[in-house]
Amino acid sequence: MQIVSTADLSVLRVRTPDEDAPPQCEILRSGRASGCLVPGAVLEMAAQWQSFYLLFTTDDTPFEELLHIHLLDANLRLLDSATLGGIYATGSFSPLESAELDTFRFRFIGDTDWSVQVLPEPGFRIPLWSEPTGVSRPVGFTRHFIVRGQPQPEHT
Amino acid sequence: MQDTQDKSAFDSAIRALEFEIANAGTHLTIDAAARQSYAMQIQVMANELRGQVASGRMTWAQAAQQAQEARNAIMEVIRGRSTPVGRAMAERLKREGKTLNELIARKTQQLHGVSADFNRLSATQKNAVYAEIVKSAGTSNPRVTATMRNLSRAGRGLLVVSIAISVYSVANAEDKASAARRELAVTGAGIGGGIAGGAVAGLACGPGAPVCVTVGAFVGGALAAFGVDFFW
Repeated sequence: MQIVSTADLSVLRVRTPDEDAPPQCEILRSGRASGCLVPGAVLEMAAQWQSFYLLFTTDDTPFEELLHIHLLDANLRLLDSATLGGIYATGSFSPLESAELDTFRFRFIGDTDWSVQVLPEPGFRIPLWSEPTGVSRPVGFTRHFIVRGQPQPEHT
Repeated sequence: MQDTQDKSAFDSAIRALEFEIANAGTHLTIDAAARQSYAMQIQVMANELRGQVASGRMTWAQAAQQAQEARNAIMEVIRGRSTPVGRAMAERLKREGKTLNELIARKTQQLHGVSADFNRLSATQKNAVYAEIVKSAGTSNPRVTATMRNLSRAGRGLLVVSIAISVYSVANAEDKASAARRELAVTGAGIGGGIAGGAVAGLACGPGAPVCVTVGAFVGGALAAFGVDFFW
């Protein structure tokens, strides 16, 4: 996958009157607002494969961080999302090298190498069953990317 | 004869449902209360550190370091106060937190731009970076807190349903005083058995196995409740 620079894609945190509300951000393309809002406050990294954009955002709570993974099409329309992390746990995002063009590899939590493989078309999934520990998605039977990882528990 | 058997089976099914509802409601309520306590304690910790810096008893650098250590300590304490199911949920993913230096680098970039170098900042700018770390240490993830708030409501709802079923059972009993004592004993045993069952399952399945611990809590609660009910 090709890394997209912050000059091309960036995010702007949407401020709300309720400070306790889960953070949301708007995706900016070349500094211009796209109207696309996604969960998260900080853009960790953006990558591109074919016409798809993969965005990784966090909530800017470094002591209990969640990683949000968003897949967008060329028009910055949100196709799929997943969240990685859990209660009283935290992670730190860092990208890894990947040989496969459709796959992004990274470290975050659980002492494992995670990967996200983008699917050209949505594939079937079984809710609560098809995802590794720590990965949550909106309810549904399809996914446009597959998250893989073998996370370890705290005391191993 | 058949009617008596049917009524007995119905009462038994209602009781089983009641114990497990009370068990689940108690688990959710305990974990939600622990979460509320966690959010409050980390905020108090951050405020105290800010106060110590303001009064000159501590530098911002010391406050940032202490905030990181205190935050992790509070997290451990709260995990200990959670139910076995809550603890298993918290331990299912090994933490990979940022070191203090990584936090400093990140906050420096957020405050002063991607190319900013902490070592080249003025003393005031460095203190602002440290202050941001203290602020972060006093913040829980709002998404997790919102989820726990919803679970707290669900837990309270389940407890209300459980109490309503108990009241129904007592109201329909011939000896109401005896029925009330029995309800109290059996429901209490169900809740205690649930906690104990979860703890035993946690030991058997190893750390960070929420599914196994939840099954243990369910089975432990049912066994304890039926045991007390049987010998009553």
